[in-house]
Amino acid sequence: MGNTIAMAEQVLEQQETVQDTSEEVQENVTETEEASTEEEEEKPKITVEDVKTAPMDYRFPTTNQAKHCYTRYNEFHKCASEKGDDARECKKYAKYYRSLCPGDWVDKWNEERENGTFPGRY
Amino acid sequence: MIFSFFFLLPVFSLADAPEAWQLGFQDPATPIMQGIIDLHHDIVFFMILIIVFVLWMITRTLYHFHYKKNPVPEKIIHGTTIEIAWTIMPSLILVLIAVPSFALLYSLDEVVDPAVTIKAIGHQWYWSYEYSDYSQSDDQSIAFDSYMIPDDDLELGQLRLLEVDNRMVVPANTHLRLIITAADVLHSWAVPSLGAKCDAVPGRLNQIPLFIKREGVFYGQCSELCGANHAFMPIVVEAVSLEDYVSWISNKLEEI
Ligand SMILES: [Cu+2]
Repeated sequence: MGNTIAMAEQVLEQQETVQDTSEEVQENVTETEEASTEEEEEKPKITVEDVKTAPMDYRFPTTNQAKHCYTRYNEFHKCASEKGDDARECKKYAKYYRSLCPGDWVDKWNEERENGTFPGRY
Repeated sequence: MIFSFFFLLPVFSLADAPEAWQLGFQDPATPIMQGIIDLHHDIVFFMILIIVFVLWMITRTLYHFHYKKNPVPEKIIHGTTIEIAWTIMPSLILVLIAVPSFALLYSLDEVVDPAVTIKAIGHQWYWSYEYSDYSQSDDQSIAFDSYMIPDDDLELGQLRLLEVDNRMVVPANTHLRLIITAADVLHSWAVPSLGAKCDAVPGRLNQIPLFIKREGVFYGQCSELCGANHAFMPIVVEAVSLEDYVSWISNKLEEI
C-alpha cells in the first residue's frame, strides 16, 4: 500500500516536470517552425523536440477517444474553411487528428468529403 | 573448474516474457504493473490470515464436537456478541482490501499529457501500428504490420510464438498514449510486464496510458478470442532511449 502511494506521488512529480518542459518545448518549436518550415517541408528531420502529440483534452476524459478524433478532424475543417486551407493556425488541428485517428478512418472521411456525403458541417 | 563455480551464482535478469511452468508474475516495467503486483501481495496476505483462521476453527470444531466426546452438541444455540463479531469483522476486512484496490483502479486511467501517440490496430490475424505524430499530410504516417515469426524462421534465442517481424518501438521514461482499435473483429492488446490489457473494438478508439520505466523488450499476446489464428498474433514492445526512438522514427520517415 505504501508503495502505491509513493508511486502515485512519483507519477505526479513526473507529470509536473513533463508539463513544464513541454511548455518550454512548445515555445521553442513555434520559433523554429517559423524559421524553417520552407526547407523542412520536403524532408522531415525529427529531433527530440519534435516528440510531442495531441494533448489530453478535458472534453474527452473517457477511455473511448473516437469522439476526440472526430472532433479534431472537424475542428480542422472548420478552421480551414474559415481561415483558408493553408492557414497556419489550422495546422495544429491537422496534427491532432492525424495523431489520434487511424489512417483508415481519415481516408474514409476524406473520400466522403470529396463525394459530398460527409455528415459533418464543414 | 573455476568457471563452473560462476554458473552457481544467481544470475539476475528481468523476465519480460513468459517462462515454462511459470506461476508468478512477469517482472513489472510500469508503475501500473508494480501497483497490480503490490495489491496482489497485499490481498494474499489477508487471504492467508483468513485461511489459517478458518482452518483452525474447523479443526477445533471437529475435535471438540466429536460425537463420542460431546454427544449433545446443542448446548449453546444463540450468541449475540459472536454474531455481531463475525458480521462486522469480515466487512471491515473487505473495506480494508477495497481501499488500496480502488486507489489502484483509479490510478489505471490517470491521464497524463502524453508525448507520443501510437495506434495499435488489431486485424485477423496480426497487429498493425501507426505513428502519425510527425506527418505533414494525411498519407504520410509511419504504418507497418507486425506478423508473428513462424517456427521455421526462428533464429537462435528468439521466442517461439512470441517474436514478430516488426516490433512496436517506443521511448522509455516517456508518457505514451496508446490508441487501440480493430479493423475486423474484437481483439485485445495485452502485455503482462506493462500491466496493459485493452480491448480492441472496431469503431472505438480505446486509449490507455503507458509509462515504461526501463528499456527492454516486452512480449504479449492477443487476449480476445478472435478466430483461427488468435494464438498467432503476438505483441512485441521494444522500449529504447528517447534518442534511439528519434533516430528510429527518422529512419522510418525516410522509408515513406
Ligand atoms: Cu486477435
